Amino acid sequence: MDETKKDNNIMQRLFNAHKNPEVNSEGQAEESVVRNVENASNSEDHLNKETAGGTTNTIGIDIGTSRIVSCKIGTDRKEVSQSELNAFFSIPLSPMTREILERNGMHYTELKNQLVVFGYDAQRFANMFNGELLHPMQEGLLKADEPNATHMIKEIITSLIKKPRELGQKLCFSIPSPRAGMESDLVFHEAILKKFFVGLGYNAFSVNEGLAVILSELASENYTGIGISIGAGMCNVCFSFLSVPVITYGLPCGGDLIDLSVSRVINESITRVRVIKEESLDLSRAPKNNLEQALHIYYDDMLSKIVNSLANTFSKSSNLPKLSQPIPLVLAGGPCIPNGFKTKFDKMLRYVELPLEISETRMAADPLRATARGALVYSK
Amino acid sequence: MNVDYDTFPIEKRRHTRFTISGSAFEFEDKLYEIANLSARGILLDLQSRAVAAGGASEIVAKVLDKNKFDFNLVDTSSRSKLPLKGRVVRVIKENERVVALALQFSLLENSQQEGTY
Ligand SMILES: Nc1ncnc2c1ncn2[C@@H]1O[C@H](COP(=O)(O)OP(=O)(O)OP(=O)(O)O)[C@@H](O)[C@H]1O
Ligand SMILES: [Mg+2]
Repeated sequence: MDETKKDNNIMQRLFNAHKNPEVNSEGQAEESVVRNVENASNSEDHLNKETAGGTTNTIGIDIGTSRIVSCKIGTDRKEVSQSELNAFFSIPLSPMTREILERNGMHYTELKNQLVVFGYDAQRFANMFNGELLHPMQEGLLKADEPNATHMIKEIITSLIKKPRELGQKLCFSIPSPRAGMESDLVFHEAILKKFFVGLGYNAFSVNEGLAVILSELASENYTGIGISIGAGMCNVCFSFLSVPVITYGLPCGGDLIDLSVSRVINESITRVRVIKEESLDLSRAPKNNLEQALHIYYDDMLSKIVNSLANTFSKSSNLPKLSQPIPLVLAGGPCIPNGFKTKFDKMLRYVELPLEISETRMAADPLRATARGALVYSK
Repeated sequence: MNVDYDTFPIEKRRHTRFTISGSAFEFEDKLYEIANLSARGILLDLQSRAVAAGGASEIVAKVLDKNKFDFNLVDTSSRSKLPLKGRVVRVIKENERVVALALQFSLLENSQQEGTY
């Protein structure tokens, strides 16, 4: 049986238990659910278990709108990274459902009269119940109109990192660049997270997401270059010279806006648009249907906003260094993954005039982990 | 040498220091080796031979004399330069001799989208 089918079986039973508790009240059925979950747990989870020792290890953590990613050096000196979906899904509290969640080691918490499943488990529940996921963050920051945002982001983070073994262990978390005029929102977001990590016992501090990409990818260039992290909610740009951030800014565009825009014009659910985008979008070939065409159009729109912002911001800057050599530009984040993305970006970049010369556009070695890796570099 | 240049005045954020080989402080056309630097500050180790050749006592006298001074952050491997404004925040002495200077710097112009971090 393949993993997806196994997963669907487990979910079906949970779903039945929730709808019709007495049907599944015998231990036997539940036990097989437990076994299935154990078998289904993927090998990456094993790799990612907290490693023993390494008490002086520091931690880098990317607090992303869509995913939270942690990164540290394991005992074998190799990088260990874990991630969770920054999302949750509520179901009415029932002892039966709670027991099943508990037995299956699912990530959940109780909030008022609800069982709140979070992380990747929430995604499975949302699919099962055909409901929309809830998110603690939007456009890079904690969501103001989500009453459980702060509580749930803390739950999700603690499913990835535990209290430090030694008080004062260093932890660096990523923050976005504030959007112009919205600096005070970042102050709140950053303070809430910092307070939380300090409360756990860490010596916690932040790093700008664009700078983190540079720290992760441009070590051999002495941390000189442009780092662009395109995420779910934000596009963060940083130009750094010898690790000193010279220009940093954020644009409210990314994967979420693409999903929303496409879903509106072709009348599809956001979830379906996202799944198709993540699973099969190929920007190097002509679109085959309406949905693909809309995805191409909104990718073009996003990239045009990004390259135009580079031209505008850089040409207005009076802080640019006198460069004797062209500098690299590195791209990271989930939306950069589709085939053909880099070629499209390069093509767009040729349309604008920048006051500095780019030697090459480079994809981050691991676009989904670059920010967390950079935060780890900064945490030293 | 672990000299603080971040806590004066109190910084809201912590800035990690990097030791980058080939990074240099250029002041009045002379280059001095940088021991480490962050997004806010630089530590100049005035004991290194390269600095002594640049004239350690000369630079100490000059930068101490000024409240703010212009300098370049230089990548000696590419010869690229970033102009900055600096000021001395700490003078480190050993036996009456200045052995290091901690500097804080800012970009030439602080607009909303620049150096906000
Ligand atoms: N294979 C893929 N193809 C296209 N898009 C993808 C792919 N994988 C993930 N994405 C999209 O990337 C986005 C998530 O990327 P990422 O994890 O870098 O964002 P984030 O760091 O959580 O968000 P932000 O940086 O904006 O706070 C989502 O919009 C997701 O749909
Ligand atoms: Mg991100």
